Amino acid sequence: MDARTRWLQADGRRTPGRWKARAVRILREPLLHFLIAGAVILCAVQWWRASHDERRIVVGDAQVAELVGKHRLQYGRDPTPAQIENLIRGYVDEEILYREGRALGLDRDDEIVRRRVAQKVEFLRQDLAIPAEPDEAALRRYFTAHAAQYAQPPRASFRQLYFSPDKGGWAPARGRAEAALARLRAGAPWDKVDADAFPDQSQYAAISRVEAARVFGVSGMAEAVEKAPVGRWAGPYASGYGWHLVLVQARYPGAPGDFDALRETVRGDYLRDAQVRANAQAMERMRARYAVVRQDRARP
Amino acid sequence: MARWLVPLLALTAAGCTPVSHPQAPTGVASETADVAAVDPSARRAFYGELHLHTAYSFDAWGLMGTRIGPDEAYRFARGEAVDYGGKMIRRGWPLDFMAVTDHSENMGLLNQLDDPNTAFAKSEIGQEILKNPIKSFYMLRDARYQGRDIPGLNTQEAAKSAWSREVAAANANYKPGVFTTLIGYEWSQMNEGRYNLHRNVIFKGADAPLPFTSADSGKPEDLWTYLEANRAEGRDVIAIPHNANGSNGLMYDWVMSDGRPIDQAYAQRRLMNEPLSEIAQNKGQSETIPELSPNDEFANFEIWDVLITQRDTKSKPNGSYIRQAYGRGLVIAEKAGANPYKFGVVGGSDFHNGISASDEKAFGGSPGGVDPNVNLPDGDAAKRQLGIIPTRTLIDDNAAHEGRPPMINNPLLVGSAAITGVWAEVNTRDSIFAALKRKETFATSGTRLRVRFFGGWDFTPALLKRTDWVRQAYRTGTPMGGDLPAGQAKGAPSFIVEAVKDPDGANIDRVQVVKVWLDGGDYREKVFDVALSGGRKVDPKTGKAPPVGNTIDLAHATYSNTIGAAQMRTVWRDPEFDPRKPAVYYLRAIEIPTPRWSTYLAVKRGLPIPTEGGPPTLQERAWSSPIWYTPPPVRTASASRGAGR
Repeated sequence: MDARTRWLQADGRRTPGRWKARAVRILREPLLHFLIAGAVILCAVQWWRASHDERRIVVGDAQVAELVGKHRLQYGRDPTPAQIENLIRGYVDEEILYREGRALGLDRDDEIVRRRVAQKVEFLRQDLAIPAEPDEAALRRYFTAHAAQYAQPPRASFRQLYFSPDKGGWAPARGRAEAALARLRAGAPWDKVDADAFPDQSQYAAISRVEAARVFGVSGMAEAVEKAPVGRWAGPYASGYGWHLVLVQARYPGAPGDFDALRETVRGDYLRDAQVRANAQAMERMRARYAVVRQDRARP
Repeated sequence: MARWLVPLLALTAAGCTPVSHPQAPTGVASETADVAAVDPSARRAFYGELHLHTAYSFDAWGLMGTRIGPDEAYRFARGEAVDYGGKMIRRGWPLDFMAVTDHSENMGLLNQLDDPNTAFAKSEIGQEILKNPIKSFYMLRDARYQGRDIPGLNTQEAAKSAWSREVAAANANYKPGVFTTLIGYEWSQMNEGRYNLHRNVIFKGADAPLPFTSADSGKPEDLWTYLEANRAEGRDVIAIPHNANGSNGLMYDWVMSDGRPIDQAYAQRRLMNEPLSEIAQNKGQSETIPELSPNDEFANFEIWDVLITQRDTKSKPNGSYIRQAYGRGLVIAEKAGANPYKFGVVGGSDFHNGISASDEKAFGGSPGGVDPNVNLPDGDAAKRQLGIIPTRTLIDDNAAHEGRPPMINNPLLVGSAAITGVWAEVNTRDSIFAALKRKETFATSGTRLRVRFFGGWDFTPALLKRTDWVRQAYRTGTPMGGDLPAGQAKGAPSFIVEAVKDPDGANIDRVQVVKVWLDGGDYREKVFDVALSGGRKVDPKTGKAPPVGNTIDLAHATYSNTIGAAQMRTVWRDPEFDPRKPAVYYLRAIEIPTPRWSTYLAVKRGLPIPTEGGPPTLQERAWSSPIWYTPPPVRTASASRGAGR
């Protein structure tokens, strides 16, 4: 409690009459008015000087604390007194350069400065417009509305045999694949058929066309994940590596996504969407406060 | 993204296991994961990059009207469609991992002028300064060389705000098992404003303190102090130097920042803090150049041998290239007792538009990646990228000083992005970061060419016939990034080399082993062709193999895989091994010739294919991290008696 408050409280509670009369008398005193007005003007001048004197740089405890804090963040320990002096010197130099730059007008008509300020406002606005945490029902509604985005693609488990064009070219490789297919269909076991070593796996479990394309390239072989028949050897299918025979052992049709497994993803998407919407609305509100005068006519 | 969301998302991400497919048979995925924990042979190649700028890099902000921030950058990288100037674009194939590495020097305004493609260089004041270099420009530029940013814009709270968004975007896009994000930033030190000493700082975990910037200190040693302080507090972190090619010999120098010769403490700190270097990216490769490697017929690849900022000024080759650094490292290790340059390699884009794409067709010139189906440059923009409409270089310091107009820019100097491959058990931060630290990495010039490289003492061709050869290779040898097992120096070391083509890309021409070794007080280098496609043989007289040929149809920008091989695998034994000499071995796989980005762009837009400024074709490639051989310590008489049989 400062002195002024104490004085007022004392005045109100204990001896109202005497103090009041004296106070009124003092308050009517012209000299007091003069002194107060003078003090106000003096303060204002001082304040104006302090804040407007381009040749005066004030380093206060708050500034030093910030410099020290930044140093601590970066090095994980407190700066020594000598380092603090260095930090302050750096800060002062920077401030001098900033003011020199401003005096030269380097901050004006600069697209970068303009954009940076706009970016800061955008950041600020986003910090203020935090979308509300969705409840269960809202999340489920969002999930249903974007069902396609969360759907599971069709998958297949399959074994494949590889015929490399490195042994004489693509046509002979295809020929070997076709011969092998004939043998397989005649009942030969797959591990007795003469195929080449594939640089990845020979057995794949429940992969989608998109995943297969990462292994085999965007190719007929990746398509085979969705198209090859189940339970019998088929092909040859071409990949980025050569020819393949495929035995699909099981196929898993596409299905809607599992909400419980995807909850966090859905929540992230929901919040991102909400943020984008909130930003657009905020921009719309700001636009409404401005009159945009279009005087442009010329077009290249 | 709300601030309170960040820790929450980090928590949920950490506790999340890869989403299983409800219809799929169970057991397969979890079994694999269990095996992976104990068996390195279950490691797979994951592709990603650790060097991308977004709108948060000051120079990138506003480029082409783009507003791609870290969140969109991550989403594009993992295969989602993102809005790019009103059009939805999508990556051809998703990356497995990525780090957005925006400049930490938030407001390093004038260094943006160094690159004509930056927003500042293109801004009115940037162009005004370049046209009429005024006093203030030099006043402020000199201020920057003294290590201070242009102030006023760089308020503390703005930096904090941007950094917290970077961290939040990385954490929100981390999908364990599917897509790994690593928090990162770029420490962008330019010595004397010209000599590139840039490093990307990559964190392992979900939280990271405010960046240590080059305004805080321009000495790499001080950056290491920051990294060490972080590790001491349990936040693992590394730094990855890049664009050594533009360092004017400073990146892999003989000396420390203070000019004294590299000592043991420096070497050990460097090795600990910088286990990797970027070997290729948008602004050239840093493996080697013909001037340093006259006998390497493949050294003439994506050459950028000038300063990043002064493209008419050569960057001193000595000290600027990785192959030479491997040799210098051996020399220094001999003298100082530790090797500062025992690092592995990665590749990146260094793109500035937030769009990380590495296919040759997915690049339309500066500033970065495109979706070739949607937003390749067109009209005059395409003509400028191909140099058909001459465009002045926006920064040309010499011209500014001498009062003459700036030189004409050569837009064909830039190349498409490179990428990083890592051999890791699973796609998580722990697993990927561990692979980076043990240097089990390789770089490609942008394709999904896949390489393996093992060193050991008794690998034989018969081993490769076994289905479990990878397990055996791990058990008895060392993978890329490691040391040959010690104490077995009987005969010459043997290496398993394997290269597998990009499933959507070109065949492989050949696989090579590059050897650098210590000979007397100096180092030597030699390139061995260890696997050649099409049954070619090395001519014993010339030591060279005939070229693989060329299937390119330039007029249509096509090629065919009728030459080269889909896959190459062999065992190679060093025929010139001397057990007394320390040596470094790395693998380089070369693809058959294919069109370069400029050719794809010209054909797509019906423009003439440029014949000057850059080659119309290239041979894409992969580089592995090396395997090192260190001779056993010379035994004293008593020690050798003790060890005798």
